[in-house]
Amino acid sequence: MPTLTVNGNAVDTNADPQTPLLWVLREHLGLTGTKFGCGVGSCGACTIHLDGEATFACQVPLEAAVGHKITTIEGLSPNGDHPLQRAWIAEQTPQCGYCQSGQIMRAAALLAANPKPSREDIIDGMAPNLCRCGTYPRIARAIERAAQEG
Amino acid sequence: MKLPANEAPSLDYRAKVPHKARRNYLTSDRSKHLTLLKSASIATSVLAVVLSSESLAQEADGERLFRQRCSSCHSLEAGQNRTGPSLAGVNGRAAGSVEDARYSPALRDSDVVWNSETLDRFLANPRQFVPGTTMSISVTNEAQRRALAEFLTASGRGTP
Repeated sequence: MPTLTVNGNAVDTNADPQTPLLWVLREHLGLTGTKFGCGVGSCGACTIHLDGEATFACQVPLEAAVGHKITTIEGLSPNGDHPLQRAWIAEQTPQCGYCQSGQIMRAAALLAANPKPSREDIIDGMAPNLCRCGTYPRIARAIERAAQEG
Repeated sequence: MKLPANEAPSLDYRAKVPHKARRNYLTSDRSKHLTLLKSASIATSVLAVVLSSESLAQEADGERLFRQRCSSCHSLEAGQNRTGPSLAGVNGRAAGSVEDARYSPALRDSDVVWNSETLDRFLANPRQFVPGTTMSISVTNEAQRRALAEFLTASGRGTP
């Protein structure tokens, strides 16, 4: 039975080893903050961290996630007070909200690698994540705010 | 019924605006407004030039496209495999041959050798080119695809 490390906890799952990690997280572990968007790694709604790297959970089979540190939006911060989460609220970033957990996870990996990103770094770094409401300007502002306020 | 003139509500809003304020609007504010309009139209044409040159640059900039479209799953560092294999030294490499990388049986068993032409065809529609591959991102814009294929096979990346 594969054991995963999700948000710091070791969890067992009886899912098929080929199951995309997204469905293991959502259906087997009940962590529904990570969203299903396209299923083909084109939209970023399912973005999680695998060893700190932003990764499409829909593209990673369960067996490839074993032995790696998985972080989902639920585990980004203990109280939902990650600088990005505070900045997201301050900038009133979401509209419908569906893509936003993926956006925040992508942004968190971006800031971890590049704590003071330029506008262009932000635009390039966030490019894999789509938002159909078009909240991009507020996403960029929130990332800039988080980078500034830490 | 016609109201007597002195009881009719005034429809002339200007009557309620003090004369001085009205004059100010007609002079300073209006000319400011016109200047604003002029600079807005200049800004629009500048923006149009910037945007079109930016999209051209982006089409030609394989490195930037790689950062935007590929680097979530692929590294350019040798030995650094993510969801997909490292693409260091991909030029001339047999598909499915990177050590410790995760591959579909379809790609591992294919006879594909990567070069700018096969990469271009693969990126156009991976699942058509290698049915059964788990690589699912396609780049439908031909200029962008070409820029990516050229970037990935450019000198210096061809040797591991």
